[in-house]
Amino acid sequence: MNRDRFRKQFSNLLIHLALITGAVIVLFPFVWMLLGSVKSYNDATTAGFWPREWLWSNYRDAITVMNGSTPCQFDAANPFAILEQCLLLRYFVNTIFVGIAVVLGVLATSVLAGYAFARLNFPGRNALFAILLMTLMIPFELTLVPNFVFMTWFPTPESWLATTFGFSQEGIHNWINTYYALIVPFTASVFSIFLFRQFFRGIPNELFDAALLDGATHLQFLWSVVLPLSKPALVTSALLTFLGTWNALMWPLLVTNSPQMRPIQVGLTQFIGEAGTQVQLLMAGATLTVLPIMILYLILQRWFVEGISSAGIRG
Amino acid sequence: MKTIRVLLLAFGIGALLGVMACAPAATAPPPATSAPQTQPTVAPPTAVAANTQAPTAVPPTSAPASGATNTPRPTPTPPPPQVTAAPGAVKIQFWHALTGASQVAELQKLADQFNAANPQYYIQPILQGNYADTLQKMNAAITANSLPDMILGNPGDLGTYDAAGVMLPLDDYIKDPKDGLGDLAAQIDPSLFFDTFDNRTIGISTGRSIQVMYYNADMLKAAGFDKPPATFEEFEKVCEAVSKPPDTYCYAMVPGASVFANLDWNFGGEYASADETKGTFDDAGGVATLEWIKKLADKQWAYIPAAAFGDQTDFGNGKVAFAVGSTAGLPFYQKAVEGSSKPFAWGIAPLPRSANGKNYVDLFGPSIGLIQSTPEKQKGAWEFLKFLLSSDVEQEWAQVTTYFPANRAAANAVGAMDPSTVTNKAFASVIDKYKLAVTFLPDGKREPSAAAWQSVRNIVANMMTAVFTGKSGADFSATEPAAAAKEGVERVNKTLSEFGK
Repeated sequence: MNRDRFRKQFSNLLIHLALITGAVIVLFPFVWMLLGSVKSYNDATTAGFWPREWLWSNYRDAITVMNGSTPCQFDAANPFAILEQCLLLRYFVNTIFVGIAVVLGVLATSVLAGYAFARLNFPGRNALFAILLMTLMIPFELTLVPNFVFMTWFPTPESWLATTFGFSQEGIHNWINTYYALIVPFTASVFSIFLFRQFFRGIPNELFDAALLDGATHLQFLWSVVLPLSKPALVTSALLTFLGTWNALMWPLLVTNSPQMRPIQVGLTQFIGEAGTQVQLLMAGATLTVLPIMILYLILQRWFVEGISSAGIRG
Repeated sequence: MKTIRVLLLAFGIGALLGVMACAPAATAPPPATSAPQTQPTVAPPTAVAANTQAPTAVPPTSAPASGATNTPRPTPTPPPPQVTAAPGAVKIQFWHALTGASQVAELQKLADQFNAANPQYYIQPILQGNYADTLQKMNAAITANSLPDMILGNPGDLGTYDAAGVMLPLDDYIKDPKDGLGDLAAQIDPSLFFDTFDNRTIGISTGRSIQVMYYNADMLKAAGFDKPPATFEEFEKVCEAVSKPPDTYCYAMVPGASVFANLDWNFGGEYASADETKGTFDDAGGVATLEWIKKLADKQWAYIPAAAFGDQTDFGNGKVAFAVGSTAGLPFYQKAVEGSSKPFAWGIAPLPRSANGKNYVDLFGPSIGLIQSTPEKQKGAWEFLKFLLSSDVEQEWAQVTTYFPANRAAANAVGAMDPSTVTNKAFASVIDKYKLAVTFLPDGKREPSAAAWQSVRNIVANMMTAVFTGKSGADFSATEPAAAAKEGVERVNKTLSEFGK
């Protein structure tokens, strides 16, 4: 008995040690980033772990740099002017706006597509799903230029309408440097379609049969029964999509021309010059950009874990 | 638990808003260090107070009534003027890759100045990321036929765009009797600042930088050397004296085509053929360069830093006697040394040479080219380029970038500046070294600028790494100097011959 208890405790100890080691390894870059954000340039570039002096002013300096060497200043007489004057705030607003719009688009398209693949029988369903999954193998860099070309083809609805009906003489604008280019290409996500398809397949058929008996259509069943049960998958898809949008750099750089249209990751590139990097300011800027995502994840982590694990088990 | 999450969210948002909203003036200067050759900086090099001031050369009120409007920023403090486009102004997009915040701010300030004085045009500088990002975006823009009107990029990248048929040859503009360079032509050395492909000038640089050797003067002095080494033999003597691996090394070597080309020249070799169609560094100079690199590795006098700009940080921390880099990095090296726990005296010198060779310095830096567009846009872009080449503007630009101005009058004026009168504090802290670097310019030499040569830089870097580490790989197999030089030239020539096909 004692031997069994000892074995159990010992194995628990080993498991905890392994988990703690893994946690330390994963957390170490974040801790390094946080500590680096309050160090001097020299401290940030040496192997010393703790700062010799705690420079909280790095955050203020980082914001100033990201704002083109101008401090952000609020004018009570014209409160919305800060969105033009403070580029950092504008970057955050752009990123949040684009993120929310993309999340809503992804949820709308992926839920419908996932449901169709999970519960509807139509010719070529499995083949179509396989082709969809194969597109996951295509590197993003390969589609950069073709997608950019597409953005130059499509007119913005407002400029098309204004020009067609004679309200404006400025001509028809394409999607370059507009929110359309930042949002529309990402409103369909193969990963989210896969996630929802797997999740919906786990919904018992009896529920569908019961709904059918009550005269519900597929859409009614989806809205009234399936979606309320799919919170974990919805949260997972939303969080991953938002995270992807938050971290996007290459595509926004490619399709935007003015600072007012750019997202937060572009602001971080201000610290990296051709002849050197302001490491400590980069860490401060990185901390500012990571903070909202970390807070969001802490709030939503329960659903996120449940969503990922449910999709896996029922696969 | 839910309450804790809500509180955490509220705290996070509040902290974020508080940090963003409470932004007083720039940071106070750190105390002066004990290093005799350094001066205290007022702020990080990117936070330059002068950049937020109104351009004094062109007061906003001098703009015509029907011209461009000067829209004040709605902030409590006196705002820098922002010039908006006048009705009917020709809008000219200027894509660039200058990622430093001070450079972005200065370029915008210069555009505002030009726009205020020339309301018929409206220059819009647009940062497109670093040079690699800009190249990628331009390639996409060429495919989509959605191009800017001006582009700043590496000469090789301009050559790539020229190969795609989008660049505007500048020769007619340069020689135009009415709107050409005029007096400016006598101030600019074409061999150093013009980029010519197929006998057509497609780019002009407003300033170049040079590759120099940064050295730790205190470390050399402690080892008995009063001045930096001029020859490879002297360099090796210093290395023997100062190297104490793993604590201190002689040289932090970052493998790269520019370093190799410079060493090759200084060993008496030639990096490329005169027509830039072939690599020729398998000559005696190139082999001697690789043998020298191998010796540094075998004697453990040198190492390859793992991180980007690792040579700079290790130099600043006093771990290495020599590092090689661009003079554009002067403010960064200054800051690295200033922030060191043990600041030291440091200087710059040309890379060493062989006994009978010359101390060449590699001259590089971006150029500005014009894209084929409407005659009005091309004219406006050309006028802005001339504006950037004018003496006053070049002097300002040199202080922000530490580039050497193309305009000789500006270069002389900057060279004669008294550090105490320089308003740009980051530049003031390195002006003595900047002036010293100017004396190296007569031995300036340029690498091949044809577009194809951008694509072979990795081959040369891989060659250096293979010889230094002694390890073969898929990217490069030979590790002995002579064989590596031969393989390097074969790979380079193959890539050059296939470029664009």
